[in-house]
Amino acid sequence: MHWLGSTHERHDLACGDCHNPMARLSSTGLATRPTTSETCLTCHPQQRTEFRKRSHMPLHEGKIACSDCHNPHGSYTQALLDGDSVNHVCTSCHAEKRGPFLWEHAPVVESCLNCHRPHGSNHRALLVSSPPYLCQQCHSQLLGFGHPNDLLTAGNLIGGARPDERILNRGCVNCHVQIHGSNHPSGIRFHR
Amino acid sequence: MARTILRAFASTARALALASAGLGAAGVHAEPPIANAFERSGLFPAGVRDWRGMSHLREIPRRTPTGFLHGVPRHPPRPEPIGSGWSQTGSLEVGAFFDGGDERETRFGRYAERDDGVFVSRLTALLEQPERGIHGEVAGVGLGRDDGSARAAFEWAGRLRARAFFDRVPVAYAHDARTLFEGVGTARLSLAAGLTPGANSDAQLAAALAGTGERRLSVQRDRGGIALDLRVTERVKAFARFEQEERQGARPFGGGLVYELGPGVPARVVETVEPIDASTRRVRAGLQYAGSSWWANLDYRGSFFRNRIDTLTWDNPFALPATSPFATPDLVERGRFALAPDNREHAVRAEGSAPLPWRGRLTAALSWTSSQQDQDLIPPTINSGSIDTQLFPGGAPLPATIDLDDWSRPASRRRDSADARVDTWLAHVALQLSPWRRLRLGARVRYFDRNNRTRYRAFNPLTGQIGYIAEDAAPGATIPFESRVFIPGQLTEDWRFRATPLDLQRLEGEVSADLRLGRRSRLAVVYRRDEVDRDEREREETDEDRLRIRLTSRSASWATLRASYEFGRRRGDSFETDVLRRFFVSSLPGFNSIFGPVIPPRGLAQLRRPSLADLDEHRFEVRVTLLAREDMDLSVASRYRDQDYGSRYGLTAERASGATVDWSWHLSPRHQAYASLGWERARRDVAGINDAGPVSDDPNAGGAVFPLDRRWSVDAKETTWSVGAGMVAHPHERLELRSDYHFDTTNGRTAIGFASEAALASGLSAAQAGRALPDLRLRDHVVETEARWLVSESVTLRLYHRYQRSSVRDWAQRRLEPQVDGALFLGHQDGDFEVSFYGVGVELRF
Repeated sequence: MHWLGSTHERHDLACGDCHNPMARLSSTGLATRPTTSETCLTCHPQQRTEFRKRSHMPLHEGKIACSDCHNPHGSYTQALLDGDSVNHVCTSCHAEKRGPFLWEHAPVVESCLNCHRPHGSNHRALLVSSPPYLCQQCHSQLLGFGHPNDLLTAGNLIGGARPDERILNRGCVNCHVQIHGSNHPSGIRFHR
Repeated sequence: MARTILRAFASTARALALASAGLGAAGVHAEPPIANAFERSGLFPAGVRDWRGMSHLREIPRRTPTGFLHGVPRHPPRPEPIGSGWSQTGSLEVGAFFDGGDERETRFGRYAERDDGVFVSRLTALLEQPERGIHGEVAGVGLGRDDGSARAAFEWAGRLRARAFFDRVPVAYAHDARTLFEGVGTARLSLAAGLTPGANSDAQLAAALAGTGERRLSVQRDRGGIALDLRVTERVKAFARFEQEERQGARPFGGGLVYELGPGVPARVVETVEPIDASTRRVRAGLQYAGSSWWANLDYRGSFFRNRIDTLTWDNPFALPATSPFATPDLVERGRFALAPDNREHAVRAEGSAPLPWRGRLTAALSWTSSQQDQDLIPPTINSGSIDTQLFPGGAPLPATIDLDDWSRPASRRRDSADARVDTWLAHVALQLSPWRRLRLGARVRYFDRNNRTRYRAFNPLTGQIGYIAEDAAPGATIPFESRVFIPGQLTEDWRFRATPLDLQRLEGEVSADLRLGRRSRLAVVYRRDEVDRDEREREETDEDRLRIRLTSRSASWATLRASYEFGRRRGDSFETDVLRRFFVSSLPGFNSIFGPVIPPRGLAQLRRPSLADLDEHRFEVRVTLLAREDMDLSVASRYRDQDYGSRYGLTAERASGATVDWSWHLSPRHQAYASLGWERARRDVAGINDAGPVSDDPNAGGAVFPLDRRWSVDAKETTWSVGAGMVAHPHERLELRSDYHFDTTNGRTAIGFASEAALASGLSAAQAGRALPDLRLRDHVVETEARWLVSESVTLRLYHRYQRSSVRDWAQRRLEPQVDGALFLGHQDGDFEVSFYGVGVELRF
């Protein structure tokens, strides 16, 4: 229904770019490659690399397909997402992140892509970069004896002069563990 | 010949009908692929390729319209007649795996089961009655394994299609976790025998850790469902789906108590383990109308998440420090998390499409989604005892004691349950007109509204006080002024006590013109405007304009070109850094700042959060697919993106560029080879100022709170190379050999800049801090080789080998031990590994 004017249609793709009913090239979907995802990655090599990164969605392991999140035949969004918004798509699988929570975290509400890469990342948990610097792109609070704007360096790593939990392991999320939102009456700062 | 062509068209038409029946399943929660890491390429029965070609009319490989060569298909299964018009075929492969090396490493088995064993690696069974268009099949891979999946389908062509499926995904988090807690995977983490909650020295913890073993943490996701598509009339199709997902296991979690209080008084943090025992039920049903030119869909989706473990309680391993005579840290015996609440989501979507004059079409959609949860709330803390909130001896504060018993009883909850709800609306209208054969005009309007109906403030009806108990009283009991209970007149910091209902309205508009240039080229110009209105953010409105020019050309018979350029510009109204003041206690009567008349700024005024900041963006993308030879294709793609946020603090700029080259050679129908090379580089620049303390209410850079000599910057660059090569060969018509190699490598460099040592955390010297973090280095080699030997018409032997060598150097995990300074971690590091994984399978066809 949304094919006309969709991203694929505007790129002048034809049915035959993805489907070939004349031969058995795939086990389902009459695709031109053995799987849906291989068909997509033919024209999207960047995503093929991303799915091989250190943290990634299990596409190359065969446990997810591009069509789990995208509708190649058109949708409301430029990225052909099969959902009203990025968050609707993500929380359809990650329902525990959906909340709604008593205490919300603004970038989470706005778009999961503020902090995560959808296909794969060189950092843990598909993060766009590592904490604390990911968090510090937004947080400069002072709030009395707050700490978000301290510069953490190699001296704060293990073996450095002053190891600091804010840069080790999960970084800020070591303490602010409910970073997607908290349902605890005392969870204002996402500690509980 | 004519009959052959007609048969080909008939086959095509039926196949397309089947495919279109499947399209309804595409999208979120489409049925999962029947695949796993061992069997990624779908469910082809083993056997030789059918190199008679891609069609009944020609034998040489054909291409997609873009120019990519098709692969060589396999022989389709040939059902054998079994009487009464029925025919059947099937296959069963029994496989065995063996591995050697560092097979326990988490990353090797993150989404796949790699254990040794014998199992049914693949199963297919097909039963059909072609005359009546009835078709049934059962298929599965890895049956009995943690990464197995299976599907059963029944189809009566043109009438109904029913499926049932099952899919399993293991998600490994750590193979080497070491923890002092007993009860991992449950709602209660108790310290091991010999340790006392809230009263252990670091030496005692170290001694206890020495006796712990390594533990594997993983979550198993199992998903099963049924689906039915029913053709009600010639033009109306109904569909319904139900699926249930179960997740069970445990994964690393956090746990903060107090922050660092100075040299020798480290932060107290413990990496706990979150128990996972949850289910999600999803329901989807709808109607689809497909007339000759009018189309309509009505769709309902429901999602119901249930967490069987709604809290996690854990013993405090540490003896917390006492910083004043008023401190009572020994009362902090436990911590408790509220885990993800049960929730439900309902979504209804109606959409339709109608023809218009000028070869036009109008498509409209309306979607409503409501997310709700009403989980019972837990009290503000689990601990009991009293903490004294007096600030400093002699500071003349009002005497006050917080009795945690008044904050740990159910009656201390603001309300019994969360009563949280968020509704969203989406309206979408798209218009396409073609007043001239070569020109198409388009327009779209999209309106999205998020309405958070949740209202909450931290308030204890038992005491009549505003406030909460941060981190189960650890900061408040350790440092008296860190109490988060508001007592009018009492000295306090400024802290938030009300939830911020984050609402958002977004209006997007787009106009476009697509112009055909000759028969084989197309030029598109798209202008898009995106207006966002946010509540309770420091910038209420942003307007983003984007102009995109796109060219697609197949003018040259030997190439397809796709190129685009996009310019984006975001601006908005002024920034108000103190927009949340009314959510903080400084807005309450009786607020008495511990900083005297100064209420310190809420943040650096010139910092711009990336989603709110001004933005100038340039984006180029070029992709050329070359038909290098009749038996060869070559694709070259390049992209560049430059985002400037127009800010000196926060995320200031991002740049990303990349290129890929893909080459495919069909030397003969029996021999194919491919190679690929990818490169990408990304850069992110972040800057900030380490505050000089609450000495002023000036929020500006260069002021007393944020002096420029405390400015810092972090520039992170990552370069990734990806190389791949492989081949498929059939040295004999009964033998197929496949081999693939991939090498991926990333180097990440993080440069640190600071104006002076005052910018540094923890009072480090410049020499101690250095000017860079250790490089992030990732390497991954994978070689996969597979041989399939068709021993006879009914037996195939498969041999498989995977070699993987991988290394990680990540500064965040480097030399991470279970005990670091004042913190307890699980000690897991993504480590290096080298593994060989062997598989052998025997397939029997029947």
